[in-house]
Amino acid sequence: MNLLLDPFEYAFFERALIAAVLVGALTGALGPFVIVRRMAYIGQGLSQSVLGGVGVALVYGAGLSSGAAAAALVAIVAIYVVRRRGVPVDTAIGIVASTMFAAGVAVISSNRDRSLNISNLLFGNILGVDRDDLILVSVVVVFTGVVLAVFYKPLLAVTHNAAVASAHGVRSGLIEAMFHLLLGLAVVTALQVLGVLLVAATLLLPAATASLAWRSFGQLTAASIAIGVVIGVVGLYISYYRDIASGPAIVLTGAAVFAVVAIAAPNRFRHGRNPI
Amino acid sequence: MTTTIELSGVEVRFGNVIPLSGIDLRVEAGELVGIVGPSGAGKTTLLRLLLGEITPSSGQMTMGSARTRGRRSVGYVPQLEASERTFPLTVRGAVLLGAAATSARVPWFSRAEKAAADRALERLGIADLATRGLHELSGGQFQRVLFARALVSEPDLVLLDEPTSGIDLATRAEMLTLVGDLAADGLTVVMTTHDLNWVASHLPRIVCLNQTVRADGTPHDVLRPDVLAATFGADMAVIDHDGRPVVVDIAALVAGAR
Repeated sequence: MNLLLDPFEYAFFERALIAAVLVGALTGALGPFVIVRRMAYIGQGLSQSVLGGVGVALVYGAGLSSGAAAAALVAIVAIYVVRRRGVPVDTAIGIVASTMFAAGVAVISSNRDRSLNISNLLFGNILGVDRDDLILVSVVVVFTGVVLAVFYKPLLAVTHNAAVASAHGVRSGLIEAMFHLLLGLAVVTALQVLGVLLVAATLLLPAATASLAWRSFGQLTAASIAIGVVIGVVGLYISYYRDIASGPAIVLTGAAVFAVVAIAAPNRFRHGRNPI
Repeated sequence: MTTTIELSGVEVRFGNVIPLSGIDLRVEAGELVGIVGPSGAGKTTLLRLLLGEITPSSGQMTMGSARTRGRRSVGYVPQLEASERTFPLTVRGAVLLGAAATSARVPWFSRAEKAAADRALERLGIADLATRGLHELSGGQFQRVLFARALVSEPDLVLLDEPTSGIDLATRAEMLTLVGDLAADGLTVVMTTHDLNWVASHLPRIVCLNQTVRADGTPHDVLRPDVLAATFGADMAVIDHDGRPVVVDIAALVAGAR
């Protein structure tokens, strides 16, 4: 029992645990929509774009959070615009992410006189989460939860087949824009906990694990949220006791859970087994 | 008889490209109509027009029943796509998505909507598959699910895009019987097809399309060498088999004989 309670002697652990639970639920809820759209690269692309944007914001004296949010918004709009030109989604993400990342590095490298510490942004710093961060994460989680609950069915219809959803009266363009906005918010929110380099994994691992064992999208989403929360909590404890960074601890826990389920789950639920 | 679709002198223009021009088409409620034409003839553009995805650049278009009483009354069955079938959904879940636009803004479907989905599955003869995963279905079963999804909102008009492509001969015959039964129940069905013998010759009415309407009538009226040459730009012979016209692609036969 002490093993579980000892870390709570430190106030930062309690805040970190709440943050890990909230971020795990947030990325767990959005992850299923990401993997069934074959958009696994979106998390990586958005976080890379955000890194570039944050670099620019820091050089010009803007705040980290505002820079990250603005960069995520610019990236989402740019990906949407490039896709509208008929470019495949993975290519669009790659183009925008590389361009924004390069722009950030270019601006940073041309301002060598300023010392920029972006290591927290790269690797996350969950132990540095303060009360204001928790409030921000909570607001984003509640907002995302409400939007997903209200638009769950149209979003699922658009994710399944946007053309058919449009034909049946769903405003697919608006739903797509809303989903990308939620993704951008989730990535920016999760950066503090996991860092740019690892945030994409938390969008994928819980959902990919759940997809091995559940065939209904509703069950898959619920399982993905639960897995996201569990690996966040377990990863944080491992981080505390093994004295390793929280982001890698959470991602490695998620990868281990995925490996176990992948070995144990029956093949019949796996995707892509029945070409038409 | 109520008119479901009425197009008069309709033109669709995308920049300098004019996929459809001078389209005159009238479809009455309960009709079963096949749109035939070669690739690039404008079949998909015509479907998109009827779905309201694009608007005519000129001409008059009236959809008699679309969006009546606040409910969507057009159902759409797309071509089979492998990605749709690998989606983690049960059959009932997939069918219910046809009602997503009009459903209440809560994450679950109402009992009435689930009952409507079960009725659609029953109508398609696949009620026993309701709890199966989509990935467990055969091509023919999945095609029926797509059909059930189009019917769940109880539309007056159903549009089918090449419903028989990618499925085997037995399933194709089942699909033809199915659309015939639905039309007999009063549903208006418009489908595109490139299959002149298996599909088109079994439909009561065929519209030959190649940028404009080249011919419109029964298979006997329309499946004629002169009409087919104007529509497909190829020499085709038509022979009679048990009272049905059968189209023979002469160029393909000659090439095969060499």
